Amino acid sequence: MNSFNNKIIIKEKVSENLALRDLASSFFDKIEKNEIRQVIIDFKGIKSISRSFAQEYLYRKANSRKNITETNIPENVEKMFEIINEPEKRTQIIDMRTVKVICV
Amino acid sequence: MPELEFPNQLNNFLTFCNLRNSAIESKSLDLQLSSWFYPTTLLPLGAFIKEKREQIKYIPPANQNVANYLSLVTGDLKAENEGKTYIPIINLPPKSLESESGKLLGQIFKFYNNGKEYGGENAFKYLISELVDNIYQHSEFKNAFLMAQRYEKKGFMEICFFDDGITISGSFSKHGMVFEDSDAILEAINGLSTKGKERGFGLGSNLKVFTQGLPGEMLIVSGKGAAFFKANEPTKLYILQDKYKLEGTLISVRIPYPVKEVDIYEFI
Repeated sequence: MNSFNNKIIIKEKVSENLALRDLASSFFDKIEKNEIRQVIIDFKGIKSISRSFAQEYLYRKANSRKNITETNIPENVEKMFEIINEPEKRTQIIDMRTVKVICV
Repeated sequence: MPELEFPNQLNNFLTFCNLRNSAIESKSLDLQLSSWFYPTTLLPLGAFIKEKREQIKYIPPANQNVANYLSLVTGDLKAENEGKTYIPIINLPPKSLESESGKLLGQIFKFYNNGKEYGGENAFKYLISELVDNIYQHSEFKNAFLMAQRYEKKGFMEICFFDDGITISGSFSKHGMVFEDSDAILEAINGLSTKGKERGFGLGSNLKVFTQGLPGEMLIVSGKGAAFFKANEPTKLYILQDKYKLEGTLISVRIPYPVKEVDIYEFI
């Protein structure tokens, strides 16, 4: 990561598919080591993002002392960020009362 | 009394258990008469062969086509196999080398045309990313694998994930949450997480995408518990005898093929 350049192309540092939570974490570890205070994350060329990656990204961003902004965010990444930022709407997926229990 | 009919994926897992148990007893894994394997049998069997290679004699299938298929799917992921109907058994890098997984996942996505015929790019990548991430986050595995096979005439693709880690209930119990193996699967689906209330969406949201958004099926086996999910059918929860216990967790997903794109954001 070039410490003199405040624009970071995330595809080059992680992958075009932002999949694993720990990769988001190690990406931010590198940003935090950088001396630049203003950081722009460029999402150009990103094809996909998992919920886990997005959640870790936003968590680390919120807890960073740097001023981090994004550019070129694709629609699917934007949607995922919106879902993470929405108030929790967790619903019970399996209704335990309807579950059929079978011994094998 | 009518015989209980199990879902195909569960039967295929039980086939693995029977082969494994017989091999442990006889010190010989005899596949001479075997004619067909789905990933739900083959993936844990491949892991078993790898683990017991030194202790158990392996007798390959007599049918040369089946023997060749086994050699192929237990071989390496090669660029020239792109577009083939299968992804061979792939070892996930250990936790210490997790960063290498990003490249590996990219290869897998490319092999299946980025999932465009399997519910769309977002759904396909979401499935693989979240389930692989769960393995890294929770399982404490020594070995973890995935494989997939597309069945064009049957109209589905089966993709399986297996780790030999601490199981779902084992992960909960390390954090003071004690459940039977089968109940632990349902708790994980419903979003209980060992890592806080903002976590725990991966498994349940995938279940919704692939059984509500798409007419898919999912089997989860962990320790002595199993659960089978299919749209518009009650969840079936299985309490397994000792002989069917799995040391680890296996997730098998059947995705219809080809199937139109699903908007995953309605389900996650």
